[in-house]
Amino acid sequence: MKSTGQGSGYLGGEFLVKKTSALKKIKGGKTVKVDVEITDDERIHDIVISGDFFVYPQEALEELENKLKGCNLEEAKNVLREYSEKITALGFTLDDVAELLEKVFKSS
Amino acid sequence: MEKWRLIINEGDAYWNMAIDEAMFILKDKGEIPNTLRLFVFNPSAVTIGYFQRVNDAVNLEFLNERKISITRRITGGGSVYHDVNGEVTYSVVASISDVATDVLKSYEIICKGLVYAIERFGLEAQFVPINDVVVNGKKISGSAQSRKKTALLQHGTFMYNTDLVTLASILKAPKEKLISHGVKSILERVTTLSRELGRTVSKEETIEALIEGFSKALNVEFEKGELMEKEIELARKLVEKYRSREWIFRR
Repeated sequence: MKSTGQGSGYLGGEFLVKKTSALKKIKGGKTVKVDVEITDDERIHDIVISGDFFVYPQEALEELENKLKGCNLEEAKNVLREYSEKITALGFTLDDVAELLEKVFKSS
Repeated sequence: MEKWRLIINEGDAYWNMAIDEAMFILKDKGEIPNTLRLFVFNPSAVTIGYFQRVNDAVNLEFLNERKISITRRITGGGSVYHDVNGEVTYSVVASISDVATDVLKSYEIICKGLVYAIERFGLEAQFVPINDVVVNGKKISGSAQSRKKTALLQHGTFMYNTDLVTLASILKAPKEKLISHGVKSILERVTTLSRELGRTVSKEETIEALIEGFSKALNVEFEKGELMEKEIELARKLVEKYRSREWIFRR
């Protein structure tokens, strides 16, 4: 697992966001990556969860991403726990996503 | 034995993906029969999975240089190089209840069709969950499935003579992925029927083996048919999405 800081900058002239990403190679062959923009008050401004995995129902992933926006780390973990019961993820779990989020928050 | 429609055709990447989605939508409405479609991407093209980021999945510069088109699938999974001279793609569009309710089980049942097809060439093949088929430890096929209320669409690759050097130049794999596969490069973990057999396998014999393999795996008899007007009509509406930058770069 690696995490990369990609610098920070003003967004909309209002607050600083830091762009980071982290990647995890899952046992079995799939990869999950999170690209996150974190605001200076430690909240998710934007997030994309991507990779060669499967999610059923498929629309749930984008819905989850939207729910994660505005969350701090603890709130995000709660949302992920809630969604673990709602979706079928093949090739990764939402615990993997939580682990990646922890990583990017710590490095930010 | 239950009868399924068999369609054999070809098209560009956008049209192929539009046809798959049109069949999927119409199957879910109960308007078309269970269908196996075997097809070729002409010209060669790349498809990426629904949840992938274009830039992480493929080498766009190389695609631009070679003028190889790319589109995003409605199914998850990874990026695929569809070589016009070396790859046959299959699509199974069927009622979920005619395959299996359990997603993993349905992947296995359909992928067994590929395993049986390979066995017809005298090779041993294994289904590796979730969605891979391997020969001698190397991936020869990958599949991806989407579901609606009552229908499933599963499509996948079958490499009989894909140019693996081109494939390895196009597809990006994160370092982490390669390490866990225990090999150094994409070239070392994918293969083709021709490579494994040490002779050039033709598209025709590949298609014949696939028909027999899927017939055995699904326990159905195929009847050669054509696309219906309503499938073509719906595909014409969907095809623009697959061409659009918005769709391709949405992640």
